[in-house]
Parts: sequence; structure tokens; C-alpha cells
Amino acid sequence: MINRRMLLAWTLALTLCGVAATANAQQRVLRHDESAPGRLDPSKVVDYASSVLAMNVYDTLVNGDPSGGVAPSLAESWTLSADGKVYTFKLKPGVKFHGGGEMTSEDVLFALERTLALNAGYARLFKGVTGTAPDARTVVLTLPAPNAAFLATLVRLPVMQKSLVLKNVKPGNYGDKGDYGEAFLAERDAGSGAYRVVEHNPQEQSVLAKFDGYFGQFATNAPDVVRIRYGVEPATVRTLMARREFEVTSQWIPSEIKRALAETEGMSVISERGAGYFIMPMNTTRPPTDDPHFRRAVALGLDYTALIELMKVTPNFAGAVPITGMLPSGLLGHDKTLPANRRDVAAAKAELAKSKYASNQPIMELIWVGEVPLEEKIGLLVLQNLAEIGIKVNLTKVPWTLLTQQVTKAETTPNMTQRFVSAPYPDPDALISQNHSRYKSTTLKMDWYSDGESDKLIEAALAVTDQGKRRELYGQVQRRLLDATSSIYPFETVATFVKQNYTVAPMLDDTSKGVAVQGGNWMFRTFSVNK
Amino acid sequence: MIKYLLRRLAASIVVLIGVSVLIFLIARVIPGDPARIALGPMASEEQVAQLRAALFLDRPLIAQYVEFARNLLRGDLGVSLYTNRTVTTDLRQFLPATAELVAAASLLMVVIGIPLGVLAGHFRDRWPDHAARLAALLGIVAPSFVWAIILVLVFSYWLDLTPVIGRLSDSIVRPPVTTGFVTVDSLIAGDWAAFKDASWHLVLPAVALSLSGAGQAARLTRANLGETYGRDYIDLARAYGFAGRTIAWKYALRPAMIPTLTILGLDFAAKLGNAFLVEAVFAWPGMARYGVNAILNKDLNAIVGTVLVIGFGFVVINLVIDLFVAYLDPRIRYRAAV
Repeated sequence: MINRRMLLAWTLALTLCGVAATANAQQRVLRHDESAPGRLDPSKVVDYASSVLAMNVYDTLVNGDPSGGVAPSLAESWTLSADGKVYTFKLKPGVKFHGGGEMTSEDVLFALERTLALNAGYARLFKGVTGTAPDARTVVLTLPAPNAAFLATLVRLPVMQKSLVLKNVKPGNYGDKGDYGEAFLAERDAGSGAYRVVEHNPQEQSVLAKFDGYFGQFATNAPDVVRIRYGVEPATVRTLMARREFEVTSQWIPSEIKRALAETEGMSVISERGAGYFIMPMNTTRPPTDDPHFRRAVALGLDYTALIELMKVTPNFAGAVPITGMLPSGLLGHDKTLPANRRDVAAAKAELAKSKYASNQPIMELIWVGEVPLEEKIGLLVLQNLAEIGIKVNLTKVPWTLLTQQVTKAETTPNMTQRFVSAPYPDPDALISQNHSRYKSTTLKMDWYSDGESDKLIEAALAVTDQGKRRELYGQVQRRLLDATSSIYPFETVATFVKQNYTVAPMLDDTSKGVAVQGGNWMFRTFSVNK
Repeated sequence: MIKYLLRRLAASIVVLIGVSVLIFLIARVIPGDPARIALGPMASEEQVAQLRAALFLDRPLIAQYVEFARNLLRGDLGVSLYTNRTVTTDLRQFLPATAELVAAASLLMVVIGIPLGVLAGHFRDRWPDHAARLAALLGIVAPSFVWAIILVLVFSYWLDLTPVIGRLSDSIVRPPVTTGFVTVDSLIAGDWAAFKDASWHLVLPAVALSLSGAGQAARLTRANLGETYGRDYIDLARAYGFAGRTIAWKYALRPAMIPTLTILGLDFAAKLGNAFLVEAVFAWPGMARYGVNAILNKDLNAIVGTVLVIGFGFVVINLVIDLFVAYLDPRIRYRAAV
């Protein structure tokens, strides 16, 4: 009998040990979706999904900081020469790459050289920059001219392991560098980030695993594995969230689904804000939007409160907030004293009466991009608003590819377009420079508005390092452009996501901890999966 | 028969060359600058010009086609601007996923559609016929993506029975790639857990994709059986006292199958391209979805590569069907021989 009891006790103990061991061995997985496939090559990043990948797999000299500037990352300190053109960075010691080996200044220079050679992604930010490596821990970068945004742009220069990339080059167009590791880096990584790439199938998913040799800190219960699924249908995302097979949704799923999920027990809405806005450019070269009075009539005719209401995810959770000026709240130069958007039907009618199209008004063409269904709802509201003041609008759906072609010529650019914009680096230049005349014929400058003085102010703001002076110059740019009403800035965007409550995402849970960089709040090492 | 086969093969090559020229031109007519789309709005004009030159887009169309044809002969379809990998790498990875899905759906089309058609044809204008016709109609009236959503809703969301996305569960280690068909590869590797899991993942997408084709097959089989039942030799078989089942499956079905098989075969090839909505719902990493994304992003090399593969699929399936029909109907063999 005793033997039997002992046997039972041992069995129970062993079972419990087994359960505990299994629990320990169980990995914490974070599952998330993105609409477009992320590009793994760090020199080719242009969109949100690729930014999220790059920021987790690679490190940069600096990171975005919640205060609006930058914080040290691979660079532990830096100095700037008196002429504002030479940056000297001291690198952090002991940073290891996923492929083994320690990071040195040669790797930083290689990343710069490769980015410039490939001339893709954000290469234009580093045009003319040259570098030297006096020793393994010092990098000197020389700029062609003083650039106040340069430090911020460095969040777009992921550092990669030179030796690993060069070991994997194939024949290509870059002389002795072959293909510069293009084929290799399209599927593998050469980074030092908190996560390394285990699998990358652009049609299906990227699987990242925690990098134990990472120099930084992981949150308690940070995910061991991250699975980013691409192009999952919103209805499918809803099912996966309901089955607890997804931890966080992307921002791209429709508001109705976000609302339905937010009302589900155990889920809540999280957001990032301060880095983006919604813009409605008006083609200043085509009738009827070539007339400033007509454009002012449009701006005064829009119901901004209704637009912000339309963006709500739940009755208590905003998808947009009012904006003053052209810069969102998270960036230097955001000015609360600039005039706020307001609807004034009487003033709009008065402006319309002053326009040359008062008696013989051509129909205004407003387009919405087929890939962004939300723009149709906005378009319908605009159509209704403007009908009240007597402006006829033709709302048309166009695919993105067609729009990119239409905007290459002023005469084919629609009267009014819509676009959601977010800052690729934490500096006002990232957004305000999009108003520079050099971006005409791209989707950045669909108003075709030319103002030499604004161009000069934008360039001047980049050349001064004094932040107070920059703020003042950006204030002047905003006043000039708002006065011309070449574009309308209806609201600051709040990107919203739905998460399982057992997941903690500090930079998204609390927007004051977030950074004004596209994808910069998705540092998975700061997440916790308490499942 | 060999002469017939050679003639068909020669015609197929001409068709493929025609397809390549046509799709090469059509892809370039789609609005939008592929270089600008790939590089994003913030890229400078110089960056765009450099990429256009690298893609030969700055050359005349004829020169572009010559370059494309030269690379094609070397098996090089270029790099996809959408996935940033070579198109051949993409197709090698995505084609088996679609082919596996379409093969399973086609199998279901045959297994569900033909017996349903035989049932309806045999019991013409009686209740089994009405029930079978209603079932066939239901399969046809709703597009496959609607079925996909309904199936997910019922079996994954409400009943929590079936997996929702992908080809394998995250917890299952993918068997070594031999054919690219996960079910087959797991069998080759002797991994029963992976086989079970992969089959389970295949069920809903395959059913969703098969329903319209199964309905079509049932209706065609019923109609053709009806015609065959009116023939003298069927009356003769009845007079000899053969059982109804024997007459249906052995004597009536074979000639009635010819148009059904032709349609099923073409449907198989068409599904290689048409499966994209089902692939989208189930996040199935297949070629159909890849092709649609390529079009939306004006990824010229990927568009041409995908269409060429689908075109090749059509040509091969057509050839196989013709040979099979010739096997089923000796008169066709005879006509081909003379």
C-alpha cells in the first residue's frame, strides 16, 4: 500500500515537473499583421511594414526619442564641428551581430556606402555624405552642407555586418561589390537588432526570433518569436483575434472591424499619434481649384468635426484629432497659435461668390484611392459638405498606380486628392519639405503650388541648427502655405490598432512614450506577452 | 497519335510565344511608373531614372522585349519590385502552394460534381435530381470567396474546428521541400503529424474553391447523361437487362464525360489564376495572390512571369485533355490519325 502511495506521489511529482518544464519551454509568441510585405533589405525600406522589420532586425546610430528628438543607440555620443558639417560619433562597445562578430566603424561606413550605391529607399537623405573611420569605435561623417535634420535622418541608416554581406555577394551591377548582397539581404539579415530573421516569405510571413546577444534590454516577458503575417484579409484577422491566434492587428483593417474587436472582452484599442496627418491637396493649376477664392471656399466648407467623428474607432477612441497648421503635435514646429480648421458656410459662400467661377462653375474632381476604402467615406462627406455651399463635386475612385501616373503632369492631376502621411524620421523636415517645389510631379506635391519664398524658408530651416530659429522659420512657411490654401490639412491622424489585453506595447499603450517615426513604436523588445 | 501529339506541341509553342508578346505589352500599358511605385514618393527623379535604366524601361519597346526574351531563354525572369527577389525564386515558392490548392479543389470538383451529376441524370425529374440540381446551383451562384468567408465563419469562428490561415500550424515544423506540396512533402518525410495538419489546413480553401466547379460539373454531367440516355445502345443495354447502376457508370458516363472533362480541365488551369480571392481569405501564400499584387503594384517582371506560368498551365492542361479525350473517344483518335 505504501509502495502504491509512493508510486502515485512520484507519478504526480513527475507530471507536475513535466508540466512546469513544458511551460518553461513554451515560447512567447507575438503575432501581428501588415498589409504589404515588408522589404527585408535595410537599404530599400520605404513603407511601414519594412520600417517595422528594419527597426527590429537592425540598429541605427540613433533612435527616435519620445521628446521629439533622437536618443543614442549604436552611437553612445557625438560631436558636431563648428561649421555644422562634420559629425564625429563614438560607437558603443561590445555590439554583436546576429552572424557573429562585433560591430565596428567599418560596418557603419559600409551601410552608408551601400545605401548610396543602391540609391533606393531613403538614400536621398544621405546624398553627398562621406565618411571615415579613424578607429574601430569612431565614425566621422562629413555633410556637403549643414543639415539640421541629419541626426534624425540617421534612424534611416541601418547598420549591417560588412563581412557577412560581402561574403554573400553574387555577380551584379556594382563592380567589385557584385550585387552588393541584394539577393542575400532580400531573404536574410546581417543586423545586430533585438530580433534576427528566421524566415522571410514576402507572400506569407516574416518570422523573427529573439537575439540573445543583443546589447540592449528586453522587457519582462518580451516575445521570443514574432510572426508578422502579410496581406491577411480583415475578416480573417477578426477571426484570428477572436480565437486568440493574433496578438495585435495592423492599423489597416477597417474601423468597423476594429470597433467589433474593441467591444470583445479581453481586447482594447491602442494607438500612435503625433507623426502624421491627413492632407487634401488641390491642384492650383487646373480650373476650378486654380482660383484661391474657390480653394478657400472649399476649405471653409468642410465639416472638420464630422470628419474627425468619422475617424472614430469607438465612441471613446479617436482615430483623428484636430490639427493647427501643417505639422502634427509630435514634431518641432507644431504651433498651437496657428488658425484652427473651422466650418463657416456663410464665409465659404462669400468666397465662392468672389471666385471667377461664381457664375460658371466647372465640376471639381475629387478622387479616392481604391486601396484605401476609408477615403471613399471621407470623399462622400466632402461631397455632401460642398454641395451645401453650391460646389459640384465628382467623386472618382482610382487605383494607386493610376494616381502615380496622373500626378506626373499638372494637367492630369485631379482637382482634389487625399493622402495619409506620416513622418519617416523624427524631424519636421520629414513632412514640411514635402511642400518644396522639387517634389512636383510626385504624390507628395499634388497641389502643384509654387512659392519660391516657401522653398527658401524650407531650405533655410534645414541649414540652421538653432532649434528656436528653426521653429520660427517653420512657422513662417506654414503661414505662407496655409494662406495660399493649396492644400487642406483636416486633422492629425491617430493610427489605431487592436490588441489582446495580455499583450503590453508600452509605446502604443501610452502615446506620450511613442516616437514620431514611421514604425518606430513597434520595437518588439519593449512588448510583453503575458499569456 | 505521335503525329497528332507533335502537331499539338508545335501549336503550343506558338501560343506561348504569342502570350509572352501580348502580356509583355499589356503589362506596360497598365498606368503608373513601376520605378516610382517601387521607390516611393520621396525618391528623387535621379533615383527613379536610375531604376528605370536598370529595368531597361528607358529603351524602346522592341529593345525591351529582345532583352526580356534573351533573359527568358536563360530562365531569368528578372527581379520582382514587389518582393525584391527574383521572379523565379518567387514562382518556385508560390506556384506549388497554388497548384496544391487547385489540385485538391479539382479532386473535390470531380468527387462531388460527377456523382452528383450522375445521380441527377439517372433520376431525372425525380426528387434526387431536384436536390442535386439545387446543390449544384448553390455552388455556382455564390463566388468562391463568399463561400470562403462563410466556411471560415461557420467552421473556424463559430465551431472553432478548422485552422484559419496558412498551410501549416506554427507549431509544426515544415517538412523538407521536395515537391513544394506540403501534404506530399510530409508524406515523403514520413511526418504524419505534418501531413494531418497540412491536410486539415487544405480542407476549407479547397472546398471553397471547388464548389462552383463541382456545381458546373454536376450540371454538365446531368445534361450530357440525359442526351446519352436517349441513345439506342442504352435502350439495347436496358433490353439486355443490365442493372441501372451498370448502365449509368459503365455505358452512359464514358461518352457523357467528354465535355465535362474538357470543362474541368480548363477550370483547373483557370483556377491557377482565379484562386486569388480564396488565397486572400485564407492567407494562402500562393501564386494567384502574388499575380494580383504584382498587377496592383505594376511589378512588370512578376506580371509577365505569373501570366507565362498560367499560360503554360493552360497549354499543358489543354494538351492533356485532348489526349485523354482521344483516349476516351476512338473516333477522335481516328480523325487525328488520318
